[in-house]
Amino acid sequence: MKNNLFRMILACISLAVLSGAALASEVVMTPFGQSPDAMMVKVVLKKLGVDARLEKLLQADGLQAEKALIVVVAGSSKGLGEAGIDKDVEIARMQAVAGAARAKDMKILVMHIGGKGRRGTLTDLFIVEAVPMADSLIVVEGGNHDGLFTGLVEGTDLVILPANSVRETEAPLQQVLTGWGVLQ
Amino acid sequence: MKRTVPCFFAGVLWLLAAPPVHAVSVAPLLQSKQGMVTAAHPLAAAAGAEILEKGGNAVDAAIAVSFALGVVEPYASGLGGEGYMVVAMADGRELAIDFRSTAPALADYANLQKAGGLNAVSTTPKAYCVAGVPAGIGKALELARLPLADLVAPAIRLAQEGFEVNATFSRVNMDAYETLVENAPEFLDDGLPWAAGATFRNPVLANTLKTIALSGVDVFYNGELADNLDRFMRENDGWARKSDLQAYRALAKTPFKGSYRGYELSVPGSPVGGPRILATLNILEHFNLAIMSWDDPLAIHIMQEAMILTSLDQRRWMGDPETNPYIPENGYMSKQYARQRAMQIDLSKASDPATWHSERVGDPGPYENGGNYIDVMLQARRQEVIEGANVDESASTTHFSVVDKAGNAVSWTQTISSFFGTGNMLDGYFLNNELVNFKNEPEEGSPINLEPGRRPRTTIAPLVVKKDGKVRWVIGSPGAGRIGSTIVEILVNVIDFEMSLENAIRAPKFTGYDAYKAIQLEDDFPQKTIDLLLEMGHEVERYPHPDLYFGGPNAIEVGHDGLLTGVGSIRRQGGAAAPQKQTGE
Repeated sequence: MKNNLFRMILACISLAVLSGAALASEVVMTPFGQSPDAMMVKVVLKKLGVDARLEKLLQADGLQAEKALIVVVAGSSKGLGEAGIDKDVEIARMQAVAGAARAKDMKILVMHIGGKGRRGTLTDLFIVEAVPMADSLIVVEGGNHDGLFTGLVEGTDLVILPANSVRETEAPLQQVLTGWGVLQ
Repeated sequence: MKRTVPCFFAGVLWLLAAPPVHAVSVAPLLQSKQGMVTAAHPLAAAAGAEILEKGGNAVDAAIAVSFALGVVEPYASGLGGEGYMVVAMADGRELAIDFRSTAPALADYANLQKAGGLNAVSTTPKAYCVAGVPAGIGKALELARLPLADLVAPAIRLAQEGFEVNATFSRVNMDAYETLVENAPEFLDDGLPWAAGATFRNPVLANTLKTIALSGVDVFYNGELADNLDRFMRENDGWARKSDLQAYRALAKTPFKGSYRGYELSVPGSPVGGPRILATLNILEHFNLAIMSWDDPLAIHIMQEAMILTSLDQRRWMGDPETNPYIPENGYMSKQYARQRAMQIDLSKASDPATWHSERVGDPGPYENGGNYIDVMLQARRQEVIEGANVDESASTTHFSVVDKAGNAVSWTQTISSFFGTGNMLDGYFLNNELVNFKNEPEEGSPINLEPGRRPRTTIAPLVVKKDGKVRWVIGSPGAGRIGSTIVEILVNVIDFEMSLENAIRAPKFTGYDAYKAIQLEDDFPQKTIDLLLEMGHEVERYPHPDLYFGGPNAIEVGHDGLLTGVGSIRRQGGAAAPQKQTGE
């Protein structure tokens, strides 16, 4: 009798969790440019109940059965240096990962969350590569101050989902991940 | 070829936008005859102006700014940091206060190697050197007029009540996010970086400042704040101890004096960047820059080559004079040595970076006691010195300038080395990581070998420029390896190119430093200028204009009629502030 009650409680809890949150393995994230920004997105995802797997140097064969890949784009010379790679290696890595994600029918969300301060020659190089990979795009205020993102999505179906700050990416993230069935 | 700097300020702004409690004027650019404060944050500048309004002198105001900057720019300086100031009193007294940090007794090469070297410890408590800011304030108090509690009050208020986070704060916070997650998660905004527009409060720092207001700065070295640091270090494998704090002293010195085209400069000595400013200007005096302009490629070439020469010498010869037996500062700053160095600049082509450390390091030694360049050169033998440049420094540090109505002037630069220092927070302030400014491994003859009690070498260079004995400009800048070039360029802009101070600061900056093989420049130079620099063999690396990377000078000009013009750092959202009325003299 006690066991049955315990199982019922467990089932209720599981149902509640599944109805409002993603399974642990449904989202994988990687920085494109090796900035720490992806860590910030992970914090926001956690608030949504999504426990995403973050791999700084995710490789194509590192993709598992996730539904979505989140690419957080921002160039960091320091980060690239610490990873022991240059911009060309980083671009090649990302192209391979995106290609593999496509082959697995994964959705790709590209995010730029650093605003104007996270723009510059290096970052722009990665942005130009990243946007065509995206099924969805979130840009925090200031990041599109010169219309770079607007120009890159022109003529495509891609819509820029804006947010005022890193914290406020929660709403567009919820919208995108719900649309992709990651969140219920 | 005089040209107007494009897109620069259209005119002087006169804004009266301060909250009523301050009763001061605050703006990015301000003019006043009542006293002036410029700092990297308008609220810190306002804190200084508030003290002038209360009847404090320039030193009182500077102390208030120092405390306030530790609150509003906790990532750039604070109680856990260090610095240098130059004070020029209206009665002619001049003082340079060295409050550089010192390596703790346990910081030696045996322990450093065990810990994995400087890179491994740079964001750990081991990288902390004994902070000098409170002791520097203590020394400056000897020239102040108001009680310490009055000078700490604006900072306590800011820490307690909070203030709106600006874009610089937010950007710097994002850049250091990984370190802060690891070392100081309590600093973050619920796990995320502080966004511009949010309200930041630091009640813990407010309490620390109250303790200092109540007990004096000695509480930091001998009292409960020292006990807190000792405990923190023991619990977190750091090297500093209360005994290191107790042994610390700020040093009052006489500033070094130099001249440039009839202007008199007062600068701090080694181990900071004052001597290099003078050495560079001494070389530039041999060239008639006034017939050129800010964007003339020949002027840029000459200045860059001169700055490379002086940075090579700085790296080889300059260090803490208190712990090094031989620091040839006088030779380095002599006009005769500059003549020899000027002869090494090829006007038609760039020097090859591959030869910088092997062939272009000079020897100021023979000029230390007044040698003549003809005699020295006739007896010269070549000396080759090889020492690598190993730094890629951040744009950290902060500088502020103060001039009061009576004409007293303070030029003050303070830092915690990298932005956020070690990233460790104690009692509401961040601990510096100055240890990274020593050599990673001992090298025979290096003036920056790690040694307990030694002060590391840095590039900061707060200075006061006079003409005919009267203060004309108070200048300084953060920006690590760009500090020297930014200050030299501002001085050349105002003196040779006759720019206003505002345009001199705003004009695009370029680097001349041996750690950078390319000329790094803000991208507002004409394409033809860039083309010719490339043709001369320079490598060019472009940055947006303006960019925080090139520092954030906060400077004041004293007009011939006594009108003070304050220019807050345009690259860092700085501000100028002035009292609306001044009661003190």
